[in-house]
Amino acid sequence: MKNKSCIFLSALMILGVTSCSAFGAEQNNPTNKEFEIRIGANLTLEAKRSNYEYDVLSGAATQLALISLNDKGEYEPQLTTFKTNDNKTYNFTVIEGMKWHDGTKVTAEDILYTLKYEDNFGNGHNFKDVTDEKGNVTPKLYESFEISDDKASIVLTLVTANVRHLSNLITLRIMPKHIYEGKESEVTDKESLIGCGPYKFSSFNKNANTLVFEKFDDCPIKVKPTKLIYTLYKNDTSLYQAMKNKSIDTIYKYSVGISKEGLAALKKDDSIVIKSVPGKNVPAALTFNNSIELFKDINVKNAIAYALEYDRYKLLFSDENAKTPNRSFIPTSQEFAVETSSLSTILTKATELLNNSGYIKKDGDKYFKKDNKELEFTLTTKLDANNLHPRYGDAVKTSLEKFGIKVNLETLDSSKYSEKTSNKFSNNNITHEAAIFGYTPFGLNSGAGFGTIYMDANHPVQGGGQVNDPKFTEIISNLNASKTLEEYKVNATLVQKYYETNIPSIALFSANTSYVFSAKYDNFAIDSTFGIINYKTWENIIKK
Amino acid sequence: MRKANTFTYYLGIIILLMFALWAIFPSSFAPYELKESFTPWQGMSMSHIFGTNDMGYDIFTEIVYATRDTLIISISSAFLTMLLAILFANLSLVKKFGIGLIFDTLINVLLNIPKLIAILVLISFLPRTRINIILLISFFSFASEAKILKNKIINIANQTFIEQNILYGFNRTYIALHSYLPNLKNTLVVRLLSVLSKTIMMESTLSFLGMGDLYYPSWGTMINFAYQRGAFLMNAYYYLLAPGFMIMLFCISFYFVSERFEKGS
Amino acid sequence: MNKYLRSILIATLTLIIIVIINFFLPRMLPGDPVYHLTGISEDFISPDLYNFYYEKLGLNLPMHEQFGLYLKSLFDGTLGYSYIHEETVFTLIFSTIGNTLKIIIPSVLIVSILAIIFGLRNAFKEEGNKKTIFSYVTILFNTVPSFLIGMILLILFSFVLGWFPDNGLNSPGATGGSAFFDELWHLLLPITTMVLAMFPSKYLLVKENSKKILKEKYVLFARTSGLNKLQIAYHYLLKNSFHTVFTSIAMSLAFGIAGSVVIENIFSINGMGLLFSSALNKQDFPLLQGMLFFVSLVSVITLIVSDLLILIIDPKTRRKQNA
Repeated sequence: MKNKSCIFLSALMILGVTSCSAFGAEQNNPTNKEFEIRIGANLTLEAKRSNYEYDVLSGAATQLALISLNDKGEYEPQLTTFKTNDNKTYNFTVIEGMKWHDGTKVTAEDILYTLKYEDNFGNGHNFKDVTDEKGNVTPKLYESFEISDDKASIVLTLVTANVRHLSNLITLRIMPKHIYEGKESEVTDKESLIGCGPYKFSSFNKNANTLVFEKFDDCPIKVKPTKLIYTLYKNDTSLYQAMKNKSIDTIYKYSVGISKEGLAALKKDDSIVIKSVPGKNVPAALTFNNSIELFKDINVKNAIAYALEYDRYKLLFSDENAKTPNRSFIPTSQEFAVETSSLSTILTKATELLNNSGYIKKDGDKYFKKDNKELEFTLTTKLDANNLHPRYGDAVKTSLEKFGIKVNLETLDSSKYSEKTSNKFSNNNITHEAAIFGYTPFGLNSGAGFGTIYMDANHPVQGGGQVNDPKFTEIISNLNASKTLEEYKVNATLVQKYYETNIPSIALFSANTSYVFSAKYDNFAIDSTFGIINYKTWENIIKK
Repeated sequence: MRKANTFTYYLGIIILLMFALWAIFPSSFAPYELKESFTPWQGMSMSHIFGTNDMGYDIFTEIVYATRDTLIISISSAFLTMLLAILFANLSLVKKFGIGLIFDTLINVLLNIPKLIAILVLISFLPRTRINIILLISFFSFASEAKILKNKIINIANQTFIEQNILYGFNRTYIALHSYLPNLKNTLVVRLLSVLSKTIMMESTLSFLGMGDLYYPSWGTMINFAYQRGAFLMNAYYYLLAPGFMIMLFCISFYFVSERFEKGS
Repeated sequence: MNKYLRSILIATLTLIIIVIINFFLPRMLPGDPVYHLTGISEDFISPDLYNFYYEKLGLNLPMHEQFGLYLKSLFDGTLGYSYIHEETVFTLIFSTIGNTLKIIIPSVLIVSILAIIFGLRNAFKEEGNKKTIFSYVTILFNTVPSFLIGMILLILFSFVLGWFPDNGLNSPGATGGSAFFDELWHLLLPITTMVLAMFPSKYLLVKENSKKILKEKYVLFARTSGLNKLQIAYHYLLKNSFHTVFTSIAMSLAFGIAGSVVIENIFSINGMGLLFSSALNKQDFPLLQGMLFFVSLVSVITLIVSDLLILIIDPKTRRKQNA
């Protein structure tokens, strides 16, 4: 009861008012090992289904994927066990006792239904080739499937063997066939909340900004906290302050981790444990639209790479662990990452490169010019919850304008931003010139891996980099067709070398990812995809 | 009491002059160049009197440079507001062809529309340029001023000396210049000053809600950034408070100056 | 003209003007009307979907039929359809207005009572153009933007001192009687912010109005004839400034919704203000327009009702009007 707000509550109690139960949780008998975990997040949830934020939170509570990826980069069973001998034929068997929250058994048919649902209603190309408006064909993934008689197992055979096929499945949430089939568009909000995870949806209180998941006992995954209580904050200041005041036990920050300012505020506190791991994400990257005329010129991109002030970005946006990134934007902590040459700020080199392409900066001019036209581009940034991305834009603009390249900043809210920078939300009509991106560990690993989904102009969902080079497309298909890890490693090196020479995107800095947890608890697991909030943590966590 | 008034009057004038100079010659008053970067989140010191922000920019420098943007928008909208108010007040008093009735009704209609909501809705349709912001602020602010002016004019008209002038046969222009104007002068000054504080308040609220330029921030935008970027977490209260203090200082100086004219208004 | 009829006429005209702005603005602006009517731009939607919206919005119809459709959406009570939220504007407003009223109504009541008490009291004290310290402090407060008041209160009382919560309207899990007090506890800072933001202008209004009346001959006469201050305050000041003060209070109800845009943002309360600012960020034009109409409607209705109440309560106005 050290919490100051509780002191106020006690005062109210003396006045004859009963305290509210949520704050009373700590008073429980210490021998009673039942506990709830309170998680803070800076998110807005609309009480609507198909909401991205809800999907993100439910991913570590109510929904299960077939498999998960642990912190060592190994795949582990989640909903199913898995087996493959040749990386072409995969056998998934649903773990005994897995049930949907309405009591129905989970079967291999649900897995098949989910893959088909993706084809019919999502961006899937599992069992059929997909042709987009431009005529690009995405070939199907699977040649065939076979469900066992007891409906517990499914054998999926790929068209071409792919050693990294499992990476595509770590966030694929399996959907209940018995609820969706035949009434896909009429599923009610309540039905859409049914999952098969160790927690089930309990309540969403819009006035309290809380989302509660309660333990689903009928699940083979045995988790310890009886409830996960998410409190949603509107800004980071309130979020970190809540952590400091102990009104929450941990913070959910997808992919980026705790901010520099947040760490500064929390690190003096002994009651908070901070875990830092080398970042597997790219917090901020300047990504060119590589198919526009200006950025087809490698000299311009290269000049920009030499004009950016990496030392300054480290100082502004990260802590003492920050490093200057390499020319390939892939974080060096990624598996199969290779060391490419390091980026550096050399203005004379940048000038030389621009001169080679005919851009001249005369004395007294502010910007480089070619044919009397200033060298300029529009930089699109996302208006995120704590105005960080506009600040990245500010830093890039300031550096480049100091050097002599005019940058017009355009700040858009996140939906408008996606409509300009991603294939899915723009219907394959990406219109930005350059944008500030944040690459998540999951995104970097998806598809062929190594950030290819962000670069590949033909990717059905992302594709912000708009790289349309046949050489690059070939590397991607080779990555996808790698039968052995050795083969994959060779192609992975090739793709990073491609980034090194063609610079489709420039990471501004590379940093550690930090997580926080109340020191009352111990035994957390850090997952490569979801961070500290994951099923392993809920299984292993202990209250001291 | 009069002495105190004189003191605050000159204090107000001095502060306003300072702001005017900041706006016109920012580079002479700002200790550093705009966008010159230092170690972020430095506390208050001799070299950075309000410290530095998340981007390592000197906060005082940013405040000085923000003055121009803040002032251009609030002063232009205040003058436009007063012009519209004078126009509408006069037109609403025209007795011919029901013109007065039309304009009087228009004033009352505009009074009913919640200002902030209307401006925000319209600005979301239009390009967020300075001119548009100025036009919108003035358009939704002038009605209350027009109403005040109209009442004042009626008030003056009912006074005996005007009737005398009419009886003496002076023409309208003469009456307007020699009878109405001297009596209205103080009211106009007081209203203008009060409108100035209101427009700066409106400008900073719009900026705080993210309607302003994020790269060249005005005072309101600075407060928005301070809050969102964690000034509180870094104990950088000055980043949060200094721009707010400038808004207060600006408004209060207008009040000090206007007090002197209030008596005669 | 009868004053009451006149205010109804003005109210109607206000709404007509809003309707005209709402209808013509998206259609007159350069660029794509589908974008301005849905918030979804032509570049970003497939031709099929574009055509679907184009027809659904009636853009293929002649102007007068489009206007008819728009009017229909106002009269059937939906106030338009938000394509981003996939709900009617009315549903969205209805689901959030409760929280906003929980802030506005107490604030307006508190401000009115305080403004009348202090305004009348200080009107006597400030005769002869002196100013009380109270007035100076109020004027100082009048120069602080409301968002700064809110932020300072939040930081001081919630973050630093930890006396008040910083998020939402309820603690998770509060039920029954304790839930009421819990909510009250959550509402205290937002209400205080709104009171501090609204009080100065109302107070100055009451005070200046009363000062003017105090100078009138009949009040001077009444005072010399021995009526005490309380009687004067009640019989002359309050009754004479009743109309102005009451109208101003009524207006603040609608204008409070505008204030809640800022306050709900700072205190993370899911009310109309937050709905409005999220619509601003998402460029949800139908929702923005629907809310503009709604707020103006509230504004004119409160005005009409307050005029009616004045007629009922204050017989003097009634007589004046019939004369």
